[in-house]
Amino acid sequence: MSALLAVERVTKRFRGLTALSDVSFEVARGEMAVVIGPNGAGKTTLFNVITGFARPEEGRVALAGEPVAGLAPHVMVRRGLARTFQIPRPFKSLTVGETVALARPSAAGNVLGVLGAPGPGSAERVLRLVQLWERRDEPAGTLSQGDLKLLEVARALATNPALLLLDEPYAGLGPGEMARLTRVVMDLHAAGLTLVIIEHKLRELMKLTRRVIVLHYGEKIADGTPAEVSREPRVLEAYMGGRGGMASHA
Amino acid sequence: MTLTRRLALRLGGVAAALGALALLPLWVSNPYVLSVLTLAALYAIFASSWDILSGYIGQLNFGHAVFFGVGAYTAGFLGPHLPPLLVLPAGALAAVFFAFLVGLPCLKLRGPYLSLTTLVFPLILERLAFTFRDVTGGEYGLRVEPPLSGPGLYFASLALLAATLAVLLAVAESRLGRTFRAIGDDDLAAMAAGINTTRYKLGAFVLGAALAGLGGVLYAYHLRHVGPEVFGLFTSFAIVIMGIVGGMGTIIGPAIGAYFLTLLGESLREIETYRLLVYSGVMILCVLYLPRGLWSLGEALPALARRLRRAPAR
Repeated sequence: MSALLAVERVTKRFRGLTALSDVSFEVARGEMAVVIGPNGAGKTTLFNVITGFARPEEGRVALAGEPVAGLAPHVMVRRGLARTFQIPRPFKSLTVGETVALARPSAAGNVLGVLGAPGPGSAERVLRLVQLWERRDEPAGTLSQGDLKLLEVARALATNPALLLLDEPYAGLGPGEMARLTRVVMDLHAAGLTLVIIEHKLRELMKLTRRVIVLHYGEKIADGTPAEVSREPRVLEAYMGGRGGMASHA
Repeated sequence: MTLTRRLALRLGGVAAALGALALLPLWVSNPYVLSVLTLAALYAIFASSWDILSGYIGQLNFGHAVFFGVGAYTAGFLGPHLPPLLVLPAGALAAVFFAFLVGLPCLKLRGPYLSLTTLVFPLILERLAFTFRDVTGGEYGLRVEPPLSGPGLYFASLALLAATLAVLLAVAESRLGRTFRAIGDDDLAAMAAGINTTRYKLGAFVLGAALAGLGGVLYAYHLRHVGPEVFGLFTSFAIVIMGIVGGMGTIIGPAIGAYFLTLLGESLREIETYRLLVYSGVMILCVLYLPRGLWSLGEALPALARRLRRAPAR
C-alpha cells in the first residue's frame, strides 16, 4: 500500500507497433522517479497511458491502490494525478493568472496544502513558486518557451496533485530557466510531492534523483539508482548507438 | 460573476444600441422596414447564441437551425393550444431537448468531426418535417397565428435580443466563459487542468439552444408560418456566415453581423436568388481583410480616438 502509483504489465500498441511492452513499476509516496530512454522508447506513451490520454491494451494502472486505467483525463486529475506536456499547450486567450486560476483543484493532493491552504490564494502561491507571479496579467501566448514550460508546471500544480508527471520539462530551456526549474522540482520533492519525470538528458536530474527507470523500444530495461542503471549492460548497449553513449546523457 | 469594467462597458454599449433601435418606430412607420428590422433582431439572437459554442469553444456548429427551427415548430404546434407566454418557454425547452439529443452523441467528437455531424441534423429534421406531414403540414408547413405583430413584435424581439446578449456577455466574461475559451484554445490541455470538456461543450450547446429556441418562437410569429425551409442549408449557413463576418468569440460581433447581412440582403432584394452568394462573398472579403470580423473595427475605434486626442496636444 506504500506505492502511490503502480503500473502493472502495461502493453500499448498503435496498429502494428508496440509502443509499450509489458512495462511494470511502482512509485512510492514521496518518491521522485526519472524515466529515461532514447527517442521513441515509449516515454510519452507511458505518460499518456498513466494519465488517461491513451488506453492500454493490456495491464493495469493503479493510483493509491485504485485501478485507474481507462478513466478520462479530467477524472484522473480529480484523483490527484497531474501532468505537463512536452511541448507546452498554453491557453492562448487567457492570461497567466487566469490559466492557473482555471485549473480544478483535486481533493486528493497535498501540494497546495504544503504551499498553504487551497483556496483563493493558491494561484498566487503556485505562480510565485515558478516565478511567474509578476507576469500574471500577461497573455499566456506571449511567454517565452521557458516560461511556458514553467506555466505548464504551474497549471498542473494548481490541480493540487498527489502525483505530478513532468514530460521533458527541461527540453528547450536555457541555463537560467533550468536552474529555476530544478529549484521548483527540489522544493516540490522536499514538500513531499511524488514526482515522475521524463527526461532525455539526465545531467540536470542525476544529482536530484535516486531512482531511474530506463525504457528502450517500449520495454523497461533497467530500474534502480543512477549508478546502478548506468552499469547495466543493456542500458549501455541501448545507448551505445547514440553519440558518446550514456555519458552524454548522464 | 463580478461586473468587470469590460463587461460593464459592453453591456452599456448594447443598451445604448438597442435603446436607439427601440426608438426607431417613432420615425419609421413603414411596416416593411419594421419587419426587416424585426428579422434582423431575430437573426442577431440566433447568431449570438450560436457564438457561445462556435466562437468560444471553437466548435463550428453548422446545425444551429435545429434549435430555432424546433422553437418555431413549437409555436406552430402549441400556438393554438397554449397562452403565448407559455409557448416561449416551451420553445426553449424543445430546443434544449434537441440540444441533448444532438449533443450527447456528437460532443464527444473532437475538431472537424463535430462540425460535420452538426451539419446533418437540420437536414434530418427537414426530412422528418416532410415525412410526418399529418403533424407538420409537410412542405406547406403550419400557419401560425401571432399574438404580437408590427411594433409589438419588434419590441418583443429587441427585448429578447437584449436579454440574450446580457446573459451571453455575463457568461462570456465569467469563469465559465474562460473555461469555454480554454477548451477552445486547447481541449487536451483543458482536460489536463481537470476540466470535463464534454460537459462544458454540452453546457454551451444547451445554453445556445435555449436562447435560439426562444428566438425561434418569435421567428414563427414574424413569418406567421413555419415550414421545413427553416431547416434548409441556407438558414444554417447564414448563421455561420453572420458569426464569422461579425467576429466570432465576441457575442456582440455575430449580432452586428446579423444586422449587417440582413439589411444588406434586403437592400439587394431584386437578386434574392443570389443571397447566399452575396453572403459568401462578404464572408470571403472578411476572412481576407478583416479576419476578426466587423467587431474588430469597433476595437480599432478607441485606439483611433486615442491617437486623435493625443495628436492636437503635440
